[in-house]
Amino acid sequence: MIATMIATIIFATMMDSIATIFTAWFGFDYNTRVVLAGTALLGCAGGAIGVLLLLRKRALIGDAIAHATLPGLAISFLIATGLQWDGKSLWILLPGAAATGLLGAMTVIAIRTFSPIKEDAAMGIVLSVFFGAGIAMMRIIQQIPEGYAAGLEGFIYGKTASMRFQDAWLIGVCGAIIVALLVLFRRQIELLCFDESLARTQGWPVTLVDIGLMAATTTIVIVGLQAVGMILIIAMLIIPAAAARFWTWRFWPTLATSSVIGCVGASIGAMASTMAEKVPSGAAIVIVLVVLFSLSAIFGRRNGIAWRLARRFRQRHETDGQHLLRSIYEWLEFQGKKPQDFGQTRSASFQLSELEFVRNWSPSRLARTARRFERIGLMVQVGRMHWALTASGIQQCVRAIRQHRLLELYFAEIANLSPEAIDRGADYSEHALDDQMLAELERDIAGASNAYEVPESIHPIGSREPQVAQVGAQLGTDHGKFPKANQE
Amino acid sequence: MAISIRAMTVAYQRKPVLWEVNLDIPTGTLVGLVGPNGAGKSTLLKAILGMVPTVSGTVALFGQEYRKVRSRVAYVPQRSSVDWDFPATVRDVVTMGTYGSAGWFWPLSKRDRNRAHEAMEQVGILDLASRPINQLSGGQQQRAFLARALAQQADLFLMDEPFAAVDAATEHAIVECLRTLQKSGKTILVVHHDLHTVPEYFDYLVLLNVRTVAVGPMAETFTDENLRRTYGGRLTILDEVSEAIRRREATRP
Amino acid sequence: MIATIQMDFWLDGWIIVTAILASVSAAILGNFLVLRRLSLLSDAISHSVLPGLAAAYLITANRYSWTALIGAIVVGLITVWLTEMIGQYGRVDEGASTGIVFTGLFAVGLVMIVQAADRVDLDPNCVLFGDIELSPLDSIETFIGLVPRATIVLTVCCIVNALFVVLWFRPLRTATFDPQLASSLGLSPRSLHYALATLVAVTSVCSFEAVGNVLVVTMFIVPPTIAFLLVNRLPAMIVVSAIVALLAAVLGHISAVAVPELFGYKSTSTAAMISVVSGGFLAMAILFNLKTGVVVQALRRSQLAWSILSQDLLALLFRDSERGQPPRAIADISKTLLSRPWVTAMALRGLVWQGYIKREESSNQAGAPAGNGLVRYELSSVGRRKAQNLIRSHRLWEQYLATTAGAQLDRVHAQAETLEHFTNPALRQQLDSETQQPQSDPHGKAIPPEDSGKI
Repeated sequence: MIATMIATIIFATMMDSIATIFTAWFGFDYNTRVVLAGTALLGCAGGAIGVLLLLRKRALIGDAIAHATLPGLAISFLIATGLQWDGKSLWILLPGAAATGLLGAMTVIAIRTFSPIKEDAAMGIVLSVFFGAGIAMMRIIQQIPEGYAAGLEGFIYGKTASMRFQDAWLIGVCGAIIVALLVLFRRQIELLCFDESLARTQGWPVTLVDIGLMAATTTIVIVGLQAVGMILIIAMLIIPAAAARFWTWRFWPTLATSSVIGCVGASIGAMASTMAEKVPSGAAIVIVLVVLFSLSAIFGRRNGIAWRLARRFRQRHETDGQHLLRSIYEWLEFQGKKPQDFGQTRSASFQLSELEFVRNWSPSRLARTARRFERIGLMVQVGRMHWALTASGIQQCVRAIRQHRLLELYFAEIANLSPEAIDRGADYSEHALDDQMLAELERDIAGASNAYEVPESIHPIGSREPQVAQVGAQLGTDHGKFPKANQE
Repeated sequence: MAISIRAMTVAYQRKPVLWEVNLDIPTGTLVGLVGPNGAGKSTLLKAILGMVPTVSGTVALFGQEYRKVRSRVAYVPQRSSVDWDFPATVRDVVTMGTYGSAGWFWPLSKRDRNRAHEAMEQVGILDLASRPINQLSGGQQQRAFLARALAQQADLFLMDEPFAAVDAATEHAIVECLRTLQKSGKTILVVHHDLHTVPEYFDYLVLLNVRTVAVGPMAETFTDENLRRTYGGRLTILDEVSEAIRRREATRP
Repeated sequence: MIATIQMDFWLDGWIIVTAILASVSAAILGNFLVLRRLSLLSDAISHSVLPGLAAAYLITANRYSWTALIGAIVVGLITVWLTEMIGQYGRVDEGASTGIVFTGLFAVGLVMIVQAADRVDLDPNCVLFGDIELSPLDSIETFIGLVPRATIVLTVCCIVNALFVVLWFRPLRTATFDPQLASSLGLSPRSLHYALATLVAVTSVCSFEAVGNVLVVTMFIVPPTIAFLLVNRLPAMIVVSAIVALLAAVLGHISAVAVPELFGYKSTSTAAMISVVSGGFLAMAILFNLKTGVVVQALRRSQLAWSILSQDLLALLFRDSERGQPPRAIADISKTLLSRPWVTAMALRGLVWQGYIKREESSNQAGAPAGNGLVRYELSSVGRRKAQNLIRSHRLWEQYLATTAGAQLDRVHAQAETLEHFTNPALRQQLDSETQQPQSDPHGKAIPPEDSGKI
């Protein structure tokens, strides 16, 4: 009920924002729209690749690659300017960036292979040293007349405003190609992510796919440099993927969700950066993505905090209900007025205060559960302080107690636990039992003829302190068969 | 009683790892803790030391809470729990055992240094004292860990698979060392993986498979029935044959 | 060359001192990060402090303030805590959750800086690599004259870090090496973790002006890594990392000024060059360190191969003379010993030079020009001795393996081939007594007596 309300509010807000976005969209000029489209596609591809990176536990190597692109940019610029070419052209800058980016990745691997240095240190080393080299060169570039206007810093923090049409087009194309490749090779990718050893034995080239993944990551990093900047591009790979995990755990839905989140985040962020003054696009996109992540963490269908709390609530309700039903049964059984679930429309009456099991419940908890039972028709009030079970209440009650006692028998016979432990154990597990397991249990222990009877309790009813000697004697008889129930 | 456990349950995400474990270990015994993989043996040690959260249960060491007798308990974890590339010598590692009593800040007294020295001598790695630990073999690593535990001068030793992937000579040396410890009144609980050597090494046995299947002196507890119940009723042919051989050997004059 | 570099003693002096302090402070803490595989935590925290810094700067318009310090501490703790939370509840691995937290916080900080750029003199570039070059401009009067504020702050930071590492050395070492032992001895590895993170944040804030957020990461990671490769004990590692950091700082600044000048440019960022220089040091360490250096190991391997080849040559000549065989051509020798002709030739030359063999040219055809005949190599007396002992080792091993060690007869030769090169006189003595002074090896060849060179 509450969940529905919250969901409606969120949905409305989202619709509202989307409407705003659409109206804003048409207020932009053609160029801006292209830039935004390119960024959106970048977010899509980034989200998709990010899922693969997360699954292969290679999230931060993207960070190392990103920082390693800086010297490449600087060197390309210097060479191009030296040769009197257009140093600012992406066609010149990006290949250089890609070269050093990949060089960085290979250096990480080389450091790991040729020395006892661990992987995390290797990534940190490559990240910072390459970046330092890049910065050193950048400061020199700034002294060159052409360099000052090059705006190479745009690559560090992201500057969609300086993106030209061809650049956006390049981004879009690369993004589209990557998505297309993912769709094309979906079977191979799925197999490799899930069961690497199986893939290997079947002859799939696992290393090749790892290399391909690195290459795709590098491509995303390169084309994303303009939009998000190298410090934050890693966010575009990781955050959508991590957010998607709160919604689903199946492979392709995760990929799809991550792409959508990446796309939405990138678009909104880029748009916000364009519309507002002095907001670097990289930062804007990342902030939007983090907001989306937080929303997913709270409201995500699979694991979100809100749903987890709701589940825990529901479980507590269920458990409380079961306990109440059981204590009603046992009390009535003790008095010799056991509820029968064939034909009886109203059980004997009882007072809530007499019920032992729930004696240490707070009054409000007891009242709440009782009221809930009344509301759903399991109990009716038959006097000022007296209640009784209805027909459906009896049914539920008998079911609950049978389940519990079957489990107790199971633990006694098969798991060989001490009597004290049995009740605790049954309490613990019965809520995890489903119908199938229950049926199996019945088959193992009960035997067909007594399928509907409630087995006798292992403990003496009426006192929760099981006497060891008595219980021992009971257990000693008739393993595997029901002791005949005492009829009143 | 060195160790007294009552109704200990440890669960990981609703899946029980230890279930209603009841255990009494008398002081001065050399105890083998045995069970199939995933039976909760390592978890039991960690639960005793309070390293994992428990759903229920109590632990009493020498009749008291662990916190009060911390200095009397030494824990020897699995070798793989540590990065052996760490820059330290064998002596450094063994000396760590004395920090409990020497304190964390004062310089080491001669007595503490002697303790480390004696410990290394007892396990036979004194000649390796200055060697960096990244140059040690598996057996030497295990001995270093044992020396560290000895340097703690504890009364209760909890050891997690000390004989895993260790050469025969080291294994014998460690067993001898443990027996000497036991004779001087210490209690040692060892998680062991090799059924064949269990009756030979230990005099007390705990069979664990999420719950305690059987606990008691070796001769009474190491029976076919108990083993079957622990290992799910299917000892391998090899185990059965070696069991048969062992029984035959035991009855020969 | 030094004379042509334009450096102002006072200006550059303070810059170098500040750089040294920043580098050493970070390097000291970095040892424990690297050993605990938390290198990227320094990356994360140094990025995350940005919003705290920006906020403090906006509030107090002062780069160094108590607000900034407190903000740094808070942010450092939050980063660690958030990373743990996200890792736990989001079921993502640590790298990913770190990435989420620090990029988010960094983005926020960036927006703050850019938004307030006109109100406040904080430039995004400063974030990257600081502007240590300007630090002397902000000096305060102290009892030793004008000292840059940055230097004072970093001195305090350095001292605090050093004290932390020295006083808490044992807990840190134990918790880093074996957290389980640490907690069983009564420590809380978790509190140490948080304490370390806090100091990392504080150091990042203090070094902010000197080296900027992004490049301080180098100082946390690279000098400790270099020290790790060079030494085997933790105290030494900490000291060496500090020294390396110091050298990198000095050399970094000098090259930041000198190298661009070579190309006709003005100086570049000191912080960046410190990074590059330390990277260079690391490369050299990886290649040349005595324990695991790539080049060192390659040299050792080839030296071993060389010595084995030389010994094999001597043994071959000995056996040839035993059997009365005629001198062989180099190509033939190479084939027998499974090496390349040119390597064999060089080995032979080496042996000649060492005096183990004598080189004789003999023409087998009268009237043929010199140099066209077969070259004959003969063992000198020293060489003969060495070869004899080698053969003795070989055959003793064969005998030992066949009789005492129970090896198969057709395998003893191959095994002895390896073992012979590592057998000294004492070991030969042992083998001799173990096999009861045999006269011949399993193949029937006579075992030559020990030749110790005494007349």
